[in-house]
Amino acid sequence: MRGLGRHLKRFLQKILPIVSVLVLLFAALYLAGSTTTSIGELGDIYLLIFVATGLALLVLAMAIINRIFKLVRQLRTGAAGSKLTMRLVLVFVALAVPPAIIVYWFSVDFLSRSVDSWFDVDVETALEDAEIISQSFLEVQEQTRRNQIERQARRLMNSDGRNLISELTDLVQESGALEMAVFQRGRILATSSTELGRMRPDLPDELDLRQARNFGVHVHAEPVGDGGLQIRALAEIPQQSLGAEPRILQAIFPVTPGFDERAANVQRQLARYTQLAYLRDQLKRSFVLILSLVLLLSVLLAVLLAFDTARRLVMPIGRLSAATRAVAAGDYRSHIDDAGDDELGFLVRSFNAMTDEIASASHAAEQSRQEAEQRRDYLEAVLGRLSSAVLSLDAEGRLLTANAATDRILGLRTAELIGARLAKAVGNREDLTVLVNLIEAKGQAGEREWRDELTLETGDRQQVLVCRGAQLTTASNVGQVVVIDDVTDLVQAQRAAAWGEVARRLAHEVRNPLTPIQLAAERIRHKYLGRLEAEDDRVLDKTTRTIVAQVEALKTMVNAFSEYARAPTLQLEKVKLSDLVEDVLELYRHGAGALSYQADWMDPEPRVLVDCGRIRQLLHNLIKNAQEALEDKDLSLNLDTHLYWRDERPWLVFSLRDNGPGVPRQIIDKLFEPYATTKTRGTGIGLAIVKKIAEEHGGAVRARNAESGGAVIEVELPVEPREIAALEAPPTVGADEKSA
Amino acid sequence: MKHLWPIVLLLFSGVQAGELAIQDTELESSAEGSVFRVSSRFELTEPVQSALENAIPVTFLWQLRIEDKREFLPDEALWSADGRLQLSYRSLSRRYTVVDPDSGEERTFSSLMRALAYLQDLDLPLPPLTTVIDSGQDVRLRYRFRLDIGALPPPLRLPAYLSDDWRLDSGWVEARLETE
Repeated sequence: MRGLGRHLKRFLQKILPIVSVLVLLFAALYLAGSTTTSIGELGDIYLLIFVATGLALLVLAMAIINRIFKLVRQLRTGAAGSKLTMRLVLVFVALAVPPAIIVYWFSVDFLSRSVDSWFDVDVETALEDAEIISQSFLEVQEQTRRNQIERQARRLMNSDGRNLISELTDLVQESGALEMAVFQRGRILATSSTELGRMRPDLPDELDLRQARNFGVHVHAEPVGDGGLQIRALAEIPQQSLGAEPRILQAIFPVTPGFDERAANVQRQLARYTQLAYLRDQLKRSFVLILSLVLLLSVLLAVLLAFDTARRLVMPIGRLSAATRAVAAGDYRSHIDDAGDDELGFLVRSFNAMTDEIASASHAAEQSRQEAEQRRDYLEAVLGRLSSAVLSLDAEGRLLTANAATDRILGLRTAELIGARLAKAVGNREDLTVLVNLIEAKGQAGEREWRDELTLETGDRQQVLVCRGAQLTTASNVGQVVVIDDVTDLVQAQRAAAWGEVARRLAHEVRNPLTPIQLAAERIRHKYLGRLEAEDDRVLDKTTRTIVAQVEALKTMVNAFSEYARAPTLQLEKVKLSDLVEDVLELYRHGAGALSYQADWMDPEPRVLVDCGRIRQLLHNLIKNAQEALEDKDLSLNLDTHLYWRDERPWLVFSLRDNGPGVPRQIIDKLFEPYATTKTRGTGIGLAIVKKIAEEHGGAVRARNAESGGAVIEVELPVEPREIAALEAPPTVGADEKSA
Repeated sequence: MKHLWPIVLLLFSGVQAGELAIQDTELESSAEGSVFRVSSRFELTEPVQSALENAIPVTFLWQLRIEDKREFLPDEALWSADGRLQLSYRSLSRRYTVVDPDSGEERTFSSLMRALAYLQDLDLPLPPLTTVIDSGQDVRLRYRFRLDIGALPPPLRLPAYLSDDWRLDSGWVEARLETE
């Protein structure tokens, strides 16, 4: 149904108007052809054809104006194919219009000459002469009939009633009249006819009767039928007595046999010639008018068809142009409707095939790009999660890429340094000079793969880095990719593990002989002291006392090592760290080792999950370490707790700052290793145990020197996120009661 | 049988064009039939007379209708008749003829004035009105008399259509018929 509707619409919009115009064209031409006939077959719709032709001209003119406006608008907007359409229209019009005008001009001239040639002066004169002769002959005939009717009227003077009818019958037979009748005051008195059964005579005109009464007789020829003639004669019948009503005799005579047909022929030809002569100018005007209409219809139709033909020819080119622009803009889905089986159709099909291939290739390229992007995203995600710094450089040493670990390990903001030379990018970071020099040297050396280890002096701490490099070959240049691992913690862990092993062996190997040594020394002292010479006795006393004291000292050291090497089972519970600190500090508030402190506890403070005994041990070690560092000065501590977020989880930091001289720079990185101390007192393992306890709780410990003086030890412990949530939640009734 | 007396109450012209005007009408009714007498007055313009004298026949067309006037509906034609009368000049006999092409009836006249007088007073036959009109019907009789341009020779038709000289047309005149 849709197909039928489309065909019907196409028929109504395109075919019907053209067919209608063609029909009108042929009708107008037929009119031109039938103009000379007296009554054309199109006579009844003559005016209708002219009106319809005029309307068709109007519609065609409007359609052409509409197309001209459209074309001008398209030209102004630079629509695809508009210029070509204009050129084609001009060409078509130039080809179609001049021949039509030439044919029109010659046709008008030819028809005008043809019409003029129909009329000949000699023929006209001959026809007029023939008419005059015929009229003269008729006048003779009239005169003859006039004499005849006068005689017949006199003959009827005495006739009346039945007598009159028989007289008339005789007169008809004698005179050759077609019929005779007698009238009196408009009444028919008698009638006789050669035509059998004819009862009613051919009545005369009132004027004829009056002339007959006035002049006694009246005769005239009159036409009958198609060109025929007859002579009507009327005469007053003489009266028998004065005052009687006059009677009129009428006789209708035929004209002379043979003359009748010739006269009719002369009459017809003369009438036809007279008509043509009269219509000569009208004929010419009609020819010109109809031919003008035909010309206008033809020209307008040609112009309209020129527009449509040009549009049909250019349409595929315009579509091609638009589609080409679309393809150039990246739209490869552009498809053009099939333009038929000609060369344009082939071009359109080739274009469609080309765009299909481009679209397919583009799709594949897009897929490839997306895959590459996914790979890059994946690589970036992997690199972002790597703990190793990965950076790539071009042949000139410019930084191309760097992952997040690079920023963390080297303390840079590499996002701002992309594209800059590495040496320039690090700027005044002297601590990185060693690393930059190493990378540049390796790059310039062109080593395919290299590995090196170096230590950076960054502020108060040392950073041990392991660097690995590889040549990075791209299409345009040769750069390198460098992977840097911060192994500082690893080295420290390795040391801690080594110390742990030492401690364990010391505790195991040294502890066992100490007690026998001590017992042996005490036994010697007990057995021989006071039994020897005074001098010997003094020496024995001194040496055995020294042995026992040193053994005690060794035991203390062994116990400390044993503590360091021990891996206890933690008894964890949730406590407020500040409460634990306050408890421990309470023990140091009085006595010889008195200390003072200022605390700035976080409020509210999240609870931490710790083994209270181990944390007390940690605090004791820290306080003892601070006291030992002060030697004879009174210890003053600044304490605080605060929260900070790292790796998306909360950490509680306990900070302890003493009023001592601070930590020497050369040992600050190894402060939490055994025997990393400059103090004269202590076992040298207290801070190592602090570090061990912090790590047992999943935390860490750091040391730094405060700008205002003194050493700062920071212990960070993990906090469960729900503890933070509990802090932020509004207090419940139960919580208030517990607090109270 | 109830008698039907058609009475012409009012006569008016719808359109009066050119020089042709209906002056009077009369209806004669009888059981055998009726006659509609119409009297019109017109003069032929110079171009029409010129064409006539140059052997161009001029045809007049009369149209007669009896219609039932209806409210809100098109009038219903109860009866209708058309007729033509062709006026021509015969140069050989120097007489004017008026021919009814349908019946073949022919009248000749010695002058144009006589011929026009014949055309101006016409007796047109009507059927017995009782066979056409029912009692109580609101019936109108409509009449039109005009020069038939369509019967002119083709070359003359277009100028005739476009010229007032050839527009001889009484337009439709109406007469209301009432029954008694």
